[in-house]
Amino acid sequence: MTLVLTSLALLAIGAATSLLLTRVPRLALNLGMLFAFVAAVIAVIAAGDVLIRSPSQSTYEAAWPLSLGTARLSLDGLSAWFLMTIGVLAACVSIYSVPYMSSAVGREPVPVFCALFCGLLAALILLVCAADAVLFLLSWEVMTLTAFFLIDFHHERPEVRRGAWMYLVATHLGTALFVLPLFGILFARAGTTAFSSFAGALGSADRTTLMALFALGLVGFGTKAGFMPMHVWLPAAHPVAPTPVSALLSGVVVKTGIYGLLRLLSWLPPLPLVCGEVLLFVGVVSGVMGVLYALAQHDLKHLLAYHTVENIGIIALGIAVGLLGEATNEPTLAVLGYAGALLHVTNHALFKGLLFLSAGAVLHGSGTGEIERLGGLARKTPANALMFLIGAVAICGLPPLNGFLSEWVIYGSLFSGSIRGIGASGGLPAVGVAALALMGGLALACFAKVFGVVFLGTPRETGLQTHSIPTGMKTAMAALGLFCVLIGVLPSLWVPLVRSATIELANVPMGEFSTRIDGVLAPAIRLSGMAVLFVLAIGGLLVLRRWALSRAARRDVGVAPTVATWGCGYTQPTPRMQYTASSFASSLVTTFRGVLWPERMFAAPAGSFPATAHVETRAPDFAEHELFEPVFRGVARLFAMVRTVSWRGESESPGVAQSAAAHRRGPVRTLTIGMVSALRRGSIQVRLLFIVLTLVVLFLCEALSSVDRVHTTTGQDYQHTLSVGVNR
Amino acid sequence: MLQSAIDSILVLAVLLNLAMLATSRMAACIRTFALQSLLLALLPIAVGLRHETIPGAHAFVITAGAVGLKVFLIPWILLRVLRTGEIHREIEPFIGFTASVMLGAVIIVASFAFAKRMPLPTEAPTDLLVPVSIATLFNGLLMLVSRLKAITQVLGYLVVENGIFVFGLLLLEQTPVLVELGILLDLFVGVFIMGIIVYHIRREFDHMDTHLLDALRES
Repeated sequence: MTLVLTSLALLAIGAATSLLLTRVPRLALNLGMLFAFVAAVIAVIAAGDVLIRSPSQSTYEAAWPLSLGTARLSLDGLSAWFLMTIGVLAACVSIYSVPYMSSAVGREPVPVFCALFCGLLAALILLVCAADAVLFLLSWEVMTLTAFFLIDFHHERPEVRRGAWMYLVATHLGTALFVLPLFGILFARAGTTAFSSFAGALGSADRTTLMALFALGLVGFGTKAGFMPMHVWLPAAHPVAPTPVSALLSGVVVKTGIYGLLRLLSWLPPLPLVCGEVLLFVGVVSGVMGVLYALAQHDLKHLLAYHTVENIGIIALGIAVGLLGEATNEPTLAVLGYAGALLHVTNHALFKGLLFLSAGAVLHGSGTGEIERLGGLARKTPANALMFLIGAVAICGLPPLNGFLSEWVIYGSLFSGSIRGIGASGGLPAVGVAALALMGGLALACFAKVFGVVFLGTPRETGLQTHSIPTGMKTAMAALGLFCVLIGVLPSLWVPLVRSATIELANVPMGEFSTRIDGVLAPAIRLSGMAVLFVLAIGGLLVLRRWALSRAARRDVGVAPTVATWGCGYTQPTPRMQYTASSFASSLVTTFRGVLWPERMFAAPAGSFPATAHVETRAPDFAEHELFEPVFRGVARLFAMVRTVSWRGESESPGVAQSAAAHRRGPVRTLTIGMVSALRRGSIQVRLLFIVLTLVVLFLCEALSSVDRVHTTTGQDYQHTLSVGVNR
Repeated sequence: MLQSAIDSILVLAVLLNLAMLATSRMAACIRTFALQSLLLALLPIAVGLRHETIPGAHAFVITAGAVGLKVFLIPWILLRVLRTGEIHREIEPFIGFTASVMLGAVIIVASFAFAKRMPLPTEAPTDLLVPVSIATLFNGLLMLVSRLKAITQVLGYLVVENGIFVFGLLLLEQTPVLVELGILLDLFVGVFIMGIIVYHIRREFDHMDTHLLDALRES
């Protein structure tokens, strides 16, 4: 516990020093990041201590100066797991930030950035160690605000302001409407704000209360985590933030939502089956839709942001299986589900951090993140290409990297749920397996697109300059890449660390963990080993090829000429003939146009000597434009009625409501208009369709209302047999 | 043995539903329907055999009626309309074939989920009976909604009736044979009239796409 406090103190010192040294920004940057790095390393040590030498619950208490009770800090397995994730990523990011931000020295307030960075880190550490509702909510709020100011760092650009505001509005709505009532209910039941008292107070809660608490947590923490309909702030805020902040946002800030949800679940007694089923559904939707939207993006960081939504979906799948396991009293399911989710939390932080840092290096070098303008970067920055490749292979869940490991455990949990017939008689976990496989395939397509277009081929634009990447940035990326590889290759060192956190969540005895997880893990280790051999063989072949080529060159034997990648067989290709990212993804996007609703503006070439042709595709976010925009516009209209003062330029004020595409015909409008006009025209099929829909609704009503009836009748039968038995 | 025979008949009937959604040739679709009807017509006897050694005359009458009508007479009428009506022999769907099969599969899963919760008056002879009947019913409705031509719509109605027929097995003992025969007669008359109408639509308008019949609406 002292280590955590030391790290917090260091962060406070770091923030203060960098604010004091505003006049010498370079020194402030170096010192601030040094403090952040040391604090992060100390946090990792503190967490590792708890994870390895299983928990010796240590708590720290201090009285608030205000009348808010006592502030309690404690470090159990769950906290330690998240603390370790935060520490590892933050240490790498702070190394990376020094060279990345030093180019902004003199132009932008870098010391403020450092202070906010230290503040965000401190809030994160405090958040996962808090054992008291007041402290938790305070650090939650500090985290939100510091993250907001960090996202808004380049606030002179309007899209940055828009992204930052969306983040602030979304997360505050989630906090105010869902997280605060959640803690209100908990406080009312327990009578104190200490976390340790919540579990006991909920032991006797009835089904409705439990479901309400779960729903509040799901929506409130889900807004932070980015579950599908509440994810709108992620693709708006991630791309516009400075790269170190994007990495932290995607790697750990989003995970605090998962932490909150897991912390809530650790207090709740086993929930009804339906909660797990709902979460599984949410996970499937987030995962599949996230990766589909990612496929349709043209901006590197936008794409990575949607992949965060996908991975949050995968984590939700794991948690859902854990819930199902708890509800049906199947320890295997609970252990595998929670362990898979927790492993994926860390793994995602590592490889997504790596990918964001690598994308930031591209941005730093070329000045743009638009995929269509980049190309051929592997020749100019081979180290960065390798790092991006490692991250991409890991996020696709391929062996032998870390993403494979956690996805394998989640696969295992879903399969065992399906075999045991849990969750709509095994149907839902089976759907989860199919969805996870679909996500893996689509993610692979997506990263084949990104890597192929950005790093292979030839540069698409001649005007783009490429700087070399500073050593500091390379070091940070190499550290993250090394973690990804090590975890994947040596899982038997890594997986036992998650034991205490899993056991706290799954409520099983200590010995259960290894017996349950080893059977699932053994084939994964074998597969990883084979993949390592495969990679080594490929590497050997490459070395052999280079050696043969150099020998051939020395002997002056004719060697086949090298041609441009994506040359498609032309002998004289130009960079414009290459595949573009959109054309690469186009077939998949077209296949899924029913769910994505991509927009396409197409001006076909006309005449014998066409002068201009133009095609543009976009995939606007469904939840943003069809769900929140109408709601927010309605709210704005409502408030316009009571507002008497208006100010200049209010129509340009940022936020969801005033986004540009006001007159867009989205899927909902298209469907409604199509339905109404078809009904007016009086097509037989449409009339029949309405009859069928009525029938379906009636069936559904009957099905839902008959649930209770079935329950009561079986109850009576049971009582009847009981009394018969007694009479005999 | 008998139980597994009933179950396999029901499973085959569901698969034939999907086959009907997937076929693009109308004649093949009609023949698939005939095959499904034949399989389902065997069910009353099979269910009867489960209860007593020799099924009652009731079951035999229904089987004979169903075979006669739905396996021979109605497909024959439809195929004849197809021939004499010189209809373009391909089905023109609103919803593509792959998408229809997907939807059909979703319907099957949903009907299994629903059937569990349905309160039933009597106990079903097998667990599959109710889901299969609901799945057949809704697949028929899907055909009705998604297909363009009058003749495929007739086929849709027939599939819906097959679904109801399966459901009727639940009430095999309770329903008087007269009612069953009445239903079959209704079906026959309906198809007969539809066949004539389809023929006349073609004679009058030279096509039989139902969505072009909108021109007839009062305005």
